[in-house]
Amino acid sequence: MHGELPPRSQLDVAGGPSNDSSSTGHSSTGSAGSAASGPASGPATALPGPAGPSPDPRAGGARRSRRRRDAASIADDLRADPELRDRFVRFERLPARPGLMEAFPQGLDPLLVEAFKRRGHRELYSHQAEAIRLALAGEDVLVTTATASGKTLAYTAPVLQSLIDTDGAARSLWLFPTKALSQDQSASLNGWIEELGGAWHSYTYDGDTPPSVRRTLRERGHVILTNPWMLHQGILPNHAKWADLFAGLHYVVIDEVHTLSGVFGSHVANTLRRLLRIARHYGAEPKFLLSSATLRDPAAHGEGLIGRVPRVVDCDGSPRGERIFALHNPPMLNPVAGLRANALEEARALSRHVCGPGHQTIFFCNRRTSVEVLTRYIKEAAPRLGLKPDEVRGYRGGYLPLLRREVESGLKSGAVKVVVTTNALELGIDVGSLDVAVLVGYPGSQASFWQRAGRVGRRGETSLVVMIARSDPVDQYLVSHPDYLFEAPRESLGLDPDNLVILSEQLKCAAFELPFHREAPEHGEDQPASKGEAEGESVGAVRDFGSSPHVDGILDYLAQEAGFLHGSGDSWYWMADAYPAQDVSLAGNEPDNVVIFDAESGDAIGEVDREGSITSVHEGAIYQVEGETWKVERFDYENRRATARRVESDYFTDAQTDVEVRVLRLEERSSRPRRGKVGTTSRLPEEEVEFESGESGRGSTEPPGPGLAGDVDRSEDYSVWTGEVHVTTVPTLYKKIRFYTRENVGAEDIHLPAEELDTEAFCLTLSEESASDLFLHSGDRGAAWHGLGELLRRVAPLFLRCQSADLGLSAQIKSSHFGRPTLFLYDRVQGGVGLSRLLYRDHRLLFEAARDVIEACDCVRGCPACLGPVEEIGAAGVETARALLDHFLSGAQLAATLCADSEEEPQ
Amino acid sequence: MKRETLNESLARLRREKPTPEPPQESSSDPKGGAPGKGDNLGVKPVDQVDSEIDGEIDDMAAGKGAGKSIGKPGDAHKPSSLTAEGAGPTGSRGPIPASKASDLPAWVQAKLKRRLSAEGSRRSQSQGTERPAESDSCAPRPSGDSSESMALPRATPLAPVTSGDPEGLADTQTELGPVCARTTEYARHSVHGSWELGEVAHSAADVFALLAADSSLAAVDPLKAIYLDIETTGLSGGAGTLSFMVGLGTFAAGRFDLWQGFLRGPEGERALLAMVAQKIRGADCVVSFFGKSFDRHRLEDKMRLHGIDPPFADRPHLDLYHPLQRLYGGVWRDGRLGTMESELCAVERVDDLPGSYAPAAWFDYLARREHRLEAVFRHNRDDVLSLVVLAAHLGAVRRNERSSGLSLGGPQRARAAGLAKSLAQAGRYSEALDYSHLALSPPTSSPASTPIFGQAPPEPDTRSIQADVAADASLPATRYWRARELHASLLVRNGSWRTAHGAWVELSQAVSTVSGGGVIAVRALIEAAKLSEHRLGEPERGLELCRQARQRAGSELGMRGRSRLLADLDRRQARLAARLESGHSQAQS
Repeated sequence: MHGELPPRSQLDVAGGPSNDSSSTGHSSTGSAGSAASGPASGPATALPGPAGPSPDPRAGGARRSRRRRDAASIADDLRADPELRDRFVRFERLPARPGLMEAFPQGLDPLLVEAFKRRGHRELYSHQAEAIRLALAGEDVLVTTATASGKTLAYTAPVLQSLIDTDGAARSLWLFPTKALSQDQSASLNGWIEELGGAWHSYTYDGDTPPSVRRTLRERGHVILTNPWMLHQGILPNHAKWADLFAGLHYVVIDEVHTLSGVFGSHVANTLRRLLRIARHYGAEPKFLLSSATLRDPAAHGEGLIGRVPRVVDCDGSPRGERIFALHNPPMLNPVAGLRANALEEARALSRHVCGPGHQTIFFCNRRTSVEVLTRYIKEAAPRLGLKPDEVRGYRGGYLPLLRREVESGLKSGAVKVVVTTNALELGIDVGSLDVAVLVGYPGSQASFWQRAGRVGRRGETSLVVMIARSDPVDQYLVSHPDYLFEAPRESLGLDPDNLVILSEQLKCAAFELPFHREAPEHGEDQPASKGEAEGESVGAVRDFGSSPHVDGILDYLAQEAGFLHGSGDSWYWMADAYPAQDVSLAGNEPDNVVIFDAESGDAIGEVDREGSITSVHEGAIYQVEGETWKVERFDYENRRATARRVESDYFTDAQTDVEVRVLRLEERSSRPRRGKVGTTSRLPEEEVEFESGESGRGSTEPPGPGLAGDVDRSEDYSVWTGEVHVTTVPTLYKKIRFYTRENVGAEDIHLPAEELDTEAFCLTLSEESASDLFLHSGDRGAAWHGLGELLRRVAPLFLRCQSADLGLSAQIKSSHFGRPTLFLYDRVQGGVGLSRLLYRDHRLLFEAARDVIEACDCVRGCPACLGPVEEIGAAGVETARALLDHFLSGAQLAATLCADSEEEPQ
Repeated sequence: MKRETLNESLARLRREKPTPEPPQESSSDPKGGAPGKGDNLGVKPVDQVDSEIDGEIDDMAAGKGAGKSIGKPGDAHKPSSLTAEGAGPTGSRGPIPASKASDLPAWVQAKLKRRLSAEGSRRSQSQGTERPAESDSCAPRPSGDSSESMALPRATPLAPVTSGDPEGLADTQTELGPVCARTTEYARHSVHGSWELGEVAHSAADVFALLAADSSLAAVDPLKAIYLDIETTGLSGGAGTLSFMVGLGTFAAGRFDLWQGFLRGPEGERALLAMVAQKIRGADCVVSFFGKSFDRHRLEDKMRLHGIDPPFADRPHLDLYHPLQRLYGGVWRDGRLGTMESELCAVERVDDLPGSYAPAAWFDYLARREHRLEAVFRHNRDDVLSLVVLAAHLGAVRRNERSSGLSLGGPQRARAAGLAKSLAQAGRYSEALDYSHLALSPPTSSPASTPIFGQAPPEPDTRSIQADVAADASLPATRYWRARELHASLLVRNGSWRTAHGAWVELSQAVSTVSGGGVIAVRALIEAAKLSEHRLGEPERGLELCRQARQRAGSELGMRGRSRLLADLDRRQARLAARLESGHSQAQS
């Protein structure tokens, strides 16, 4: 949270709110950020002690009344509860912070300044002022500050200013990651425009926009609010209809760019390349105004997205109400099994304090099924909490839009007191300000953590965020390293616009929109300027589409092999009876979600994506919506539809799969040589270890590759690789697990076809010799090896922005490809989006985190919160894994090794 | 224009790779399958933002499923794969040519190939159920990889192939490069179908304005119009679709000139469009078939893309599709140009290559393969000539005979019903009533007995519908009932209360035996009730009719707006009852 860190104080758990023992002050990461939150007045003096707003602890007595309730008193209740208080490992109080104000920048029109003042903005927050200044100076800007810090204003002002300056000639395009966001913003923007009295119009353009309005908004929309999907499939391919917009395009505003990572982000980055190409064709060079949650390297992410380095504004000048963070670790029920109380059960226990009629509470779960289970729990308990069952609602993706709108407006009006949700409510859909957030498990990324936390306390009142740690390595890591949460972001965003699959699909779309030329066409010959501004000089040059060296080659391929393009001289023209954007999904997956229908009424009740379908709507699966249970009766795999019947089920289902990984090609490799017995090697000082250097290693050692299996490089200790793999996932069986007790009440087979995946993987290989030195070859070796892989997979989200579910694992004790113990961690999207490269780069961090998790765990011989339960990892699993990690981390770092291109074909 | 370069590159392509085939990219031809078009594009996750394709859909949807593009011959049994001569089997493709594509590392190519074939097989898998069975023995399915098979229809058995440039092309140098075109001159009395081209001169332009509901057409001179039809590389719209042939027809002294602009390659698009814009600007009016929804937008979009001012905005545009639909909709199996021209003007095409085959012909030409462009030129020519004779037909409908005195042909009753509706919408109720009456009369009326615009109508009350004239081929059922409704309401408009009342009551009885006629019956009863109450001073009758309507509406479960209607009826009934009550009490006192 670089840049938005106020001084904070740590409260002794056992002590009361008056115990202000350790004011830790500023973390010193990022000087800019620190400076920003230190306004001239000095934060220390401005802040009341934590005891300052301390409420009457007896406020809890009025809990069941409908009176408004202060979050601070709820925190006190939690601290006072004899049963719960010991479970809180940390109360972190981020004190209120005054705003850091600045005068309006020079360039803003008095009219606009007046409008600001009428709205009560006498001054701007420092980050808003800086962002506006930079934007008016013609820079690309990325504002990365906390949720609710007024980022919207920072890009609204330059856009309005451009409209005033040009008398409405300047157009802008705003992109939001969800439809709901754009609807929200449109209303507020129109308020501004009306106030300024300009004859300008802003319109939302999405799938709901009626055809009759579309023509109007194309011709007269000064500000178009839309989303990446509409841009990709509707606007860009029909750019001639939007010629006015593109010719006048001044700003491209993109909200919440931290959500643009992975496949989706990589597709969006290419979509923006297409956008720029088209704008240039019509003679415009728009600037980008980006906003984001805080990021590890915002400039790099911005550059990945827009192809230019934006100016980063990360000094948050907004004021902040007091926030209390409570870190809750469920009690260890069985130290031998390492079993902690279930986080969902803990959430249920907490609900008696954090839910009530006098305030609004939001629960964030990480799984859709958890949403359903918890909603059901709380609805059942509602009368005891002074709530009506209708005041408790679930909300998640997969609900039909109408139901979602209903819950949203219920939250806004205050009619809904408790909502249980997933990340569906994480982004800025306006549901008003809530009071208490309970995170049932770490959401998987710092950005998400802060977004979820930002859902509460918008009114500058005290707010409470409780995070319940699960029996999960990352959660347990955070319990033992809570500062991770409050420090500067440490995750990298995976973004690879030049991913060949994505690039080639996007090049199809781009070529449909405008032809490509090997070089920019000579001005005057091929493209004589008829109307001046309509012709940009370099439009369509191949080099304008990112820096991949393969653009020419892909275009040739699309022309000669695939027949989509017509290559003519040094140009490529779209030449097929097709509309490519229709077939290219920004999410990377095929648009073939499975829709679930009610067997009785025939109504659609929800849907799941293709990948998820084989494990969630197989026949016999229990599908849950808002606490209701449906049993899937029939899954028509071919036609992507499932039929379910409503049942009263006392169990839910959990499906298992078998995974097979085949290596297609290896790309990068780092390795180190063995030195004598491993036991000694690991203790050798570094200088004694010979490096296998990338350059010199080529001649002296055999090139690794597919032939490796036969002729094992005897001098090698272990290697990490990146490469391409083919993964086959077969669903095998599903377990029936009883609600509440989580008792396994049976299992049945699943009969469905396999899902096939071509992707990139990070591989870890250990030579047979080293493996036997580490006793990996005796006893439960396979189980321990798998446990280690699982742990690495699960701690990966500490360093890359992904869910651990985005990574697939295959642990093989003797890989058929490498002939030795191998771990594959693969990107679970077609083609991969660079996660494997980030794993490769940060593998040492992963090993360290994994070791820390094992070291810090209180369990005896392994548990779900570290390596896995002893039944899964074997009796010697923990020792084996610890020895492996110690071995990997001791001694020399790995050195890059040249990796021969494997031309191997999949078959 | 760099013709050499193009030729060289084509030659290179030919050397290196005889038959590159576009893989199947889209499941169904969107323009071809208009009714399903929305589905084609719109099936997306509920919460995911729609993939709606901008603009074009709206336009197409407005066409309500029957443009010239819709249901083209061949669509129903479109060969789903190429013919034997279209392309070699995929196996003969050979290794990747050692050309520029070799810049791409082999593994990248392998990856792309895997990706493309995965895409293809998924697509064909998902379409498997919808694909019609092969109905055409001359279009064998290739045994190769399905992803490589051709989606585009490529041949009919009748159209011969040629190679190289089509004949008769001439280049005109312009400042934007050469424009290539074929020009054909026709004498004004040349015959197309059963009509002479020059007959269009006798059109009454006000009927264009009336039927197209567009007053800007009222003064157009069909001899100063430009007749437009284009052939494109696809029906989807969007920047990547090219109009590779633009047919423009104009009348000159004693002649009709057909100019067919043609693209030798995509590079020439700009020069061609500039010339097209210039030619259109020289005309008073544009005449097309479904062109307001298709041709105009294709040209306009591409003109904007190239910085050329589109010439359409201030120019009257007669899109024949809509007026013809108004007159003859529902009479034949569809409203396509081909249907209209053959039914109304006896145009018979020989060896026609359906428009949906055009893209493949041009792609073949570009790739220097054998092609059927000659047939595309012919198809385009016939389209343009049909525009002229259909415009002539339309211009003659109010006379109901041709300038030569020949009968106009075509279903007279449907035509009269269409005219009645248009006149009614224009507020010309008296004339409308005449046509309405004609629509419901036996179709034997001689031209002399048909009403003429502007003539004083006969006394309205002497005309009543003849109940024995029912729906027939000349006025299909759906339109027949609507025509009777219109007729009754026109009687009301013309003040013939008693006749109108009879017509409504008769209609309510006649339609009640027809399936789905309940809604009309309810409406008719309500109208009759209104007349009884307000015009004829018979509230008892009104109450009775109201009761009937209420009863009828009560049994029509699926009716739109039923609950509101029922509430209305209840109110009306109550009011009438109260009025009668007070009437009685007044009478008693």
